[in-house]
Amino acid sequence: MAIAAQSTPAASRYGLALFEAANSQSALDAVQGDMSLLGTVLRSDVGQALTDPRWSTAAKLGAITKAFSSGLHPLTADFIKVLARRKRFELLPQVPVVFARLLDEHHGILRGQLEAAFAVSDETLAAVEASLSQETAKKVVLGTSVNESLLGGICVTLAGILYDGSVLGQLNRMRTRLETVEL
Amino acid sequence: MELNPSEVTSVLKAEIENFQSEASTEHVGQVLQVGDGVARIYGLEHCMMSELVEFRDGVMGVALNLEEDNVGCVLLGNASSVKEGDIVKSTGKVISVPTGDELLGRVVNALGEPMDGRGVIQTSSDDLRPIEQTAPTVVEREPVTEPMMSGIKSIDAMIPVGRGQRELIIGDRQTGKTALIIDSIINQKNTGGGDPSNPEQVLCVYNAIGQKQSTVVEVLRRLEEAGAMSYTIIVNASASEEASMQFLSPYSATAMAERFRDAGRHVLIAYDDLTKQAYAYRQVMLLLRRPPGREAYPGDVFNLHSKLLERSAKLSRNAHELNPEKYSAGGGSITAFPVVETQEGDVSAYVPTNVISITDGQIFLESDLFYSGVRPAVNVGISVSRVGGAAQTPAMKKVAGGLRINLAQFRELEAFAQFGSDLDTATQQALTRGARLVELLKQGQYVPLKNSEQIVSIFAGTSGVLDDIENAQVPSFVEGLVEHMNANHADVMIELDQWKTKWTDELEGTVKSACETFSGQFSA
Repeated sequence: MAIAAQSTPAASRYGLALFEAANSQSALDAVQGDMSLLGTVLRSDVGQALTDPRWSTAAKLGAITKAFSSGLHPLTADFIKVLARRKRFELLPQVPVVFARLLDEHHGILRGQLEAAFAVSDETLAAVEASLSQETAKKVVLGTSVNESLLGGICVTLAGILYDGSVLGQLNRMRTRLETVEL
Repeated sequence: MELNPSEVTSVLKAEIENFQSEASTEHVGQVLQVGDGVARIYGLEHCMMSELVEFRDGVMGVALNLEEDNVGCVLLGNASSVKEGDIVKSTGKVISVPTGDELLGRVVNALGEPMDGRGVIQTSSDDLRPIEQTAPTVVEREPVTEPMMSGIKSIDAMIPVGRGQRELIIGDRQTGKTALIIDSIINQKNTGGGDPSNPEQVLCVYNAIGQKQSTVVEVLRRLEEAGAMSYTIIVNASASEEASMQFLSPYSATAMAERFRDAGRHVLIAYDDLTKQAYAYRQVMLLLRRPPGREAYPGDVFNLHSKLLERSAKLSRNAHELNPEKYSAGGGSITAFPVVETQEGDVSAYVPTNVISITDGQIFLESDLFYSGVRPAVNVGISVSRVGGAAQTPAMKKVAGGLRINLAQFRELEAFAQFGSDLDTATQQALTRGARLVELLKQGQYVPLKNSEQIVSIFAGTSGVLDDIENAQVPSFVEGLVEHMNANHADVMIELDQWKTKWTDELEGTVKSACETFSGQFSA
């Protein structure tokens, strides 16, 4: 399971500013497209080069504008320039993460992770998502992974809460009960 | 307890049949970073301050820093099994330790788990107590009135400690701080014959913090040899354990002592030593990135010790009526002997000044005295007991009244006399008396004296009986005198062992004539 990405307070502030600007210009979807593209690029080798301190900021900025010259929404392009001018270029990799989180909040989406002993079918996933959506009053989107040590059943981690319906969890609870039972 | 296998089976069967197989929900987070005994956790949004959290493999941690998007924890066990990205569960509980009679005679760690290889401690979940407790309130307390005899002449005569008092033991390394505590614990055998079920018996808790494991083994051996372990608990957080265990162990030890106090018993607790606890706390707090203050200690290092020592108190006799939920009986007490180690006798360092200001007095041990053969190396000039005077036994108070001033005069004149000029008779007499008293107050290790024995010895010094004895003969004279009294005046000695016995003229006459008789025998 991927560790929840953390963002520094500065990245959160820049991300929020971009989000609000995009929202007021009704350009959320376009900027989100740019952000996911940026996110993919920054996670690759190119991204490594872009955060390399041996490169000057001007060179990095030049490279980005050249690479994305046509595709970027004007707001995204300006945002990158603002980052460069304010000497905050190193925050760039964090911004897509912050943006995605803000967008999820805006659309009322909760993202979580479903772990199961076997690969779950799409129907099961949809059913779990539906029932959790009902409970949390938000739209729940779950990523899936397989963990054979659970033996059976499923575990869902959502908004800091672990819903444990796995056989392993039940066995553990049974053990605690039997160990602490008053004779 | 008799256990019938078929009953056990039926209980387990019922448990399994009634087991609810529904899903559970738990608040979880993820380890962001772990190292040096602390971990940062992302998530755990509903985590409370000081809450226990559970890592993988059952390793526990305590939440100490609640920040906007992460939680800082100290780990209470082996950190090597905790990895980045691990799931952390909140438990909704605070740290609790088992308490009660079953712990007496045992060596446990800061979590109350046995460390002496003598098997499981049979306590139930009802015996668990949170290690952090609030101190008794103003109305639930009472002034200190009963003596806590240490069995050491220089302390019981000049720096008397009462039950419920906090008396600091302070001094450089190797000045006999731990020895003083061991003697005091051994001496508590005189209160109830070493039988923990006797309500008169003072129970003892020895908390070793950051000590060498070998020191703790030695303490245990000495206490066992003296038959003192039957009423003693050793809470050990040795130097090799995590810093978190070292700074939490005094609170655990106090929780164990409070169980007895709240049931109306008297407890003696020794924290050996609080300097190391402050070191451990500083380490953890710096790793958790709390801002450092003076000597790099965090800002709440004063509170660290004051909240601990405030829990040692004398409870009011009607504490039970005032707060029946907390106190099953009134009149209990915890007497604390916190230890602080100084560097080169510097009491103005941060931790020593803090603890001096919290406690009700201090016993100052000096290496100069120690190496010149005055053992216990108590510097009576600057040692004080602020509340113990009211708790001193009346007979001791009367007999030892002039001791302090005699010794003070002696120290002043001693400096003069070194010039070697002719001295008048009064000065010479004061010098003779002082030298005898210093000799008299020396005492071997592991031989605490009863109240009666102390009174008789000190009477011999202050009444001038010793003035005619050679200085080198003083220890054997005093020893002989005590034996003589025990053999020929057992009734007087038993009477003097009662706290409340007054020093009447009649009593003084008997002791004086016995001293003279023995003095005659001794010189012959």
